[in-house]
Amino acid sequence: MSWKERIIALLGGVALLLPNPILAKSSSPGKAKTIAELAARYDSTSCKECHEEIYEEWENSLHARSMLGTPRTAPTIITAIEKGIKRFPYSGVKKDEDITVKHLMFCAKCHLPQLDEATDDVAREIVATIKAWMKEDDDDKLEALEAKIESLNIGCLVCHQKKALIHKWADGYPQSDTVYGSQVGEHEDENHPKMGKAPALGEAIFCGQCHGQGPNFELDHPSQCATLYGSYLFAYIPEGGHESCQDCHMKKSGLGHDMQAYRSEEMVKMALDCEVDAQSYFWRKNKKEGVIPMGLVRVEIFNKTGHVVPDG
Amino acid sequence: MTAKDENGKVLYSNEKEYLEIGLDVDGYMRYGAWQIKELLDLTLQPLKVQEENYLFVLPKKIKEANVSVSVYYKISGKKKDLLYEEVKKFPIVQE
Ligand code: HEC
Ligand code: HEC
Ligand code: HEC
Ligand code: HEC
Ligand code: HEC
Repeated sequence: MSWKERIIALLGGVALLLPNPILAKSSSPGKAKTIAELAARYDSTSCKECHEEIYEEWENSLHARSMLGTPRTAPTIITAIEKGIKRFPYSGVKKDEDITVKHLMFCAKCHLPQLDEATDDVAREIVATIKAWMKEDDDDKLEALEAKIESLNIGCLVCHQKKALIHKWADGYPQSDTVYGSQVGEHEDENHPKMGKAPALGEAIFCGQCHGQGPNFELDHPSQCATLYGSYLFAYIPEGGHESCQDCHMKKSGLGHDMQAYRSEEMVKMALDCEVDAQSYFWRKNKKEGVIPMGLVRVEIFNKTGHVVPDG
Repeated sequence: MTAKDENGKVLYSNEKEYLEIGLDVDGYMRYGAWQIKELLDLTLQPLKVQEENYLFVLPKKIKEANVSVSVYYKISGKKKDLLYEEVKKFPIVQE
């Protein structure tokens, strides 16, 4: 053991003596070492038996396949690595073996925030799995690889635990034995025996954690993907808009946990109001050409959503 | 937006796109989340009305035109989903 590691070990020893709530999380299991371990830690299927309807709604949403996407996301992450990270002179990545969690976080911050609870091996396993999936011809193998990518998602515990508490100095740090919602008390699930309160879960700021405001400045290389929350805050609210994301996407739409956009009929109906008006008139151009009929079509499109259309 | 005559012949057609254009610092258009540094915002803004006027010459002797307006959501050029469609007939009468 070098002196450096020793000092870290010693500090660790001291810290454990302090009854500090910030450290409570670090006493929970260490980093996940494989995709399977990470997926198991955030598995949603165990919630299904009691929350069946919500599970089925969620299953249909893009949150349930946030790494695979439509499936555009997984291949785009590979492009970001090949055409981006590997070409940047200071990223420290020349080949797949150099990829770490930190590198993938510039997408995973929102597409898979729990990746920060995994080792660098998992980051490399993700890249290898997506690459294998992109190359695979055999249907059965393709399906298995796709299932593996899909097992990494924004599941129940990402929203109801990991990202549930935003103002942590006021509301505390999320605990691994607790699901967060609107109630405090006992929870029937033996793996998560407690229910805790997530004060902002019903507010736009909750979705804003991933739905973007602009460049992600906290990253060494700020990526920019979704910026829809920025539009909500700085365009919709100033116009007097006062509905939350949850109001439109979960309640008014009737879709609950199946949060959708233009692919769903319910959302399309709520998106735009259009007015079409046409009139004609006659232009006396000149003697030679005479009277020319002209058409004028006016189209008015009113954006009824809570943000720009489209995003990104 | 398309205007057709009674027989379905296209008299006029035009298209407008609303989108965000990602740019890098040198002003090149970029699509990747790892490349975008600036935006040109040509999207439909919330709670705002976007007005378009299309003015065009009609053939002489025409009596009626069918105007159809469709709004699509497009992803990467190929795929498009219909958001809104309206077809209106309007008469063209010369006094
Ligand atoms: C054995 C059954 C059972 C299982 C398994 C279970 N739950 Fe629950 N859960 C309940 C019951 C019952 C309630 C209380 C409902 C009530 O009182 O409104 C509840 C409440 C909740 C709440 C609080 C809702 C609110 O309004 O505050 C959340 C969040 C929640 N569960 C999430 C989960 C998640 C995530 C999982 C999987 C990790 C899960 N539950 C697994 C039975 C279960
Ligand atoms: C600030 C959070 C955030 C970051 C960081 C982020 N994304 Fe996204 N991304 C989103 C959200 C939210 C959506 C979907 C909502 C939307 O389109 O407005 C999305 C959508 C996408 C889509 C389209 C989804 C589909 O299924 O068709 C792709 C592709 C994508 N992201 C790739 C990436 C890549 C690659 C990176 C990293 C270089 C990245 N994103 C970084 C939040 C983010
Ligand atoms: C993208 C984030 C997100 C995901 C993923 C998610 N939830 Fe929720 N959930 C919410 C929000 C937000 C609310 C509160 C809505 C409100 O109060 O306006 C909620 C409410 C709830 C409630 C209480 C209210 C109700 O509808 O009965 C339960 C129980 C619940 N979720 C369980 C689950 C389970 C189980 C899963 C996984 C199958 C899940 N949630 C996945 C965001 C999420
Ligand atoms: C942990 C991050 C995260 C949170 C929290 C989150 N989302 Fe998302 N959401 C995403 C990502 C990432 C995608 C895109 C997945 C993909 O296709 O790659 C997405 C997709 C969506 C879509 C589908 C967009 C489409 O193009 O069809 C909607 C709608 C949506 N989210 C609404 C919400 C709402 C409403 C909330 C709050 C209740 C919320 N999300 C909370 C990350 C998040
Ligand atoms: C007033 C109702 C309303 C509010 C408030 C609202 N949305 Fe939407 N949203 C819609 C409708 C309707 C659509 C479908 C039109 C579309 O896809 O562009 C949509 C589309 C989306 C999309 C897909 C955008 C795209 O072009 O890919 C995402 C993601 C989304 N909303 C997330 C959110 C989040 C996050 C919030 C809160 C910050 C929010 N919405 C607030 C009504 C609303």
